[in-house]
Amino acid sequence: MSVHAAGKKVLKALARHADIIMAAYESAGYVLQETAGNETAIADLVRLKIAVREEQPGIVRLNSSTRVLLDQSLKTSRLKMVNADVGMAIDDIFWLAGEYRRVKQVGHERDRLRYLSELQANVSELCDSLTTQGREIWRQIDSDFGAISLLQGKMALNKNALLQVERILKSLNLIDQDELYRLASIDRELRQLLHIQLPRAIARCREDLSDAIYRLNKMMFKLNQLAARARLVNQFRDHWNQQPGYMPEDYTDHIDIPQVFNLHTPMQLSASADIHQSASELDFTALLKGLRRAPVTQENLCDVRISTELVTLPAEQVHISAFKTAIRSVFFDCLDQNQTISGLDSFSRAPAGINAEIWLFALMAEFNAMDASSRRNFSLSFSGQYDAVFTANFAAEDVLICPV
Amino acid sequence: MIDQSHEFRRIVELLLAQEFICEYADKPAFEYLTNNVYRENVDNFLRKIGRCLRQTEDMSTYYCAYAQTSSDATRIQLRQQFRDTINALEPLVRWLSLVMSATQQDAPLAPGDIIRQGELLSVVEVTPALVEDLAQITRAGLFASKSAAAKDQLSQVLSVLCNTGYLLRSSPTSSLYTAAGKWSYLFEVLEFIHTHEELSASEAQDEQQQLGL
Repeated sequence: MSVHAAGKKVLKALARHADIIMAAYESAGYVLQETAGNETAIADLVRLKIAVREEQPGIVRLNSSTRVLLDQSLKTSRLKMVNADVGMAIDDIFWLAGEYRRVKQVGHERDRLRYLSELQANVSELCDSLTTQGREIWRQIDSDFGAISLLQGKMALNKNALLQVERILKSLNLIDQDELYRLASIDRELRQLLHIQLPRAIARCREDLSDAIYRLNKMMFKLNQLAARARLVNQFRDHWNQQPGYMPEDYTDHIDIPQVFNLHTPMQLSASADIHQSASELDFTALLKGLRRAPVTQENLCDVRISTELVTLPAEQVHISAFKTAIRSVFFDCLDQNQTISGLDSFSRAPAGINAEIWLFALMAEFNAMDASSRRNFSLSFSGQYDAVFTANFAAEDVLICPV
Repeated sequence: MIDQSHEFRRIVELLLAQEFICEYADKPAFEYLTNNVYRENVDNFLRKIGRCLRQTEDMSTYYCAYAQTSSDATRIQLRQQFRDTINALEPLVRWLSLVMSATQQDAPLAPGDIIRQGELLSVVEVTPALVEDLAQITRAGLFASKSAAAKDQLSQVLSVLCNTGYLLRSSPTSSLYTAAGKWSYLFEVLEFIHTHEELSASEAQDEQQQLGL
């Protein structure tokens, strides 16, 4: 909603609820009389901050700004006008409280009620004023001094807001809380006002303003930083205008390179994928999808027919050489005769052209190539002798085929 | 919920690729590094490979630096980096000054500020001094452009600033640019040089000499 529309809404509400407002204005303590019929109207006035609902004792009172508006328009004067200055407002409250106690002591009930009503209005107005001042400071902070775009303007507003906050806090510090307690200690109604309502408003205001100071100082720091950066830009630009081609010295020549120039060089990252990493699942899926999407080339689509016809192969006769037959005969004889046969003794069976060494190795190879069930029937042993010097060396002279 | 290990890997890779991480460039990464434990984890990892995590003084940006600068190989790398930074300094400063003039602001661009290309161009085109400034910036160096039209020159400058990480663009067709945290790093460089080379003192001397004449 625009400011214009919001303002019109407030003014219309003032006109719509004029009777209730004026009745409250003319009543003692500016209290709005709540009835079953005006609940909605009063809620509307509270919502628009024309009236305020006090926590204690739960009554609705006209807002101080509404009262000031009516005071100024009607040129009325109240018994004691609350001054914007906190110190003076407190003086008024002390004075009214003193008068209240005096008339109460002498038994002037009518005057007592009148003073009490004025005191309530003054306390309420001061509380209201403190809240409004805190809220106004925060409005400025929250809008970042909105309407002003220039840095210098923002800085001036920030300084002004800081001064304002400090002034209010100083005023709050001047309030003699002990005196307030002493003055109100003997009267229940005064206690309600000066022991509860006013100290609570002061504490809340102080808290708001302390937070505001922190925020304002932080903003001021940032604004000062921006101003310093603006000066830097202007100074460097002017420097380059005066000294074209100016280059700062090479600070990387220093033994200790300043930290500000310590900037890591981009690193080319390469690594293999961790296929067990669940976080990468989506990436892998995308990769796989991409792979499947690759078009198959036309050549690969040509199929090759495979023959399913059964081909009858001719029977093939396995030829066993004379050499193998001679070797096998030694093993057969060993079994038949159930006695050890010497390799060298059986060499006479070897076909022509085979020397003794080949014959002996062929006997060993035949034994080693046997399947386990056949080999179980034989064992090989070697006759020979150990070397006289290198006693671990055994020089075999013959191979003996032994039946098991 | 963010997968922490995935985020850790992503951030380390960004830092090793010399990215500057700020809340405008990569908010999740920036928030991740704002957490003390996560930040220490990243820093510890980088230290194992001779790097470390750094933050600009205004705490707005994170970047990667060498843990030790004493080795010859590192010094060679840093020397090259330094040259690149210094060579870009004048065009960047002149660009900041141009933007300040065009937007009639007394504060330079700060991280998070928005630049509207259309608005900037319309101001530049009707201000001869700014047209001349833009032409000077794009004559050579970082923003070099062959075009004589202010529109093209401005596009070139904005494009280079995006590529070098000073500006962020929400989409390739957007005419809105957001200033990134890398500007904070640039201001730290300017501040260092300004302090160590006593630019203000030399300017004051020049002014005095001019007054004497």
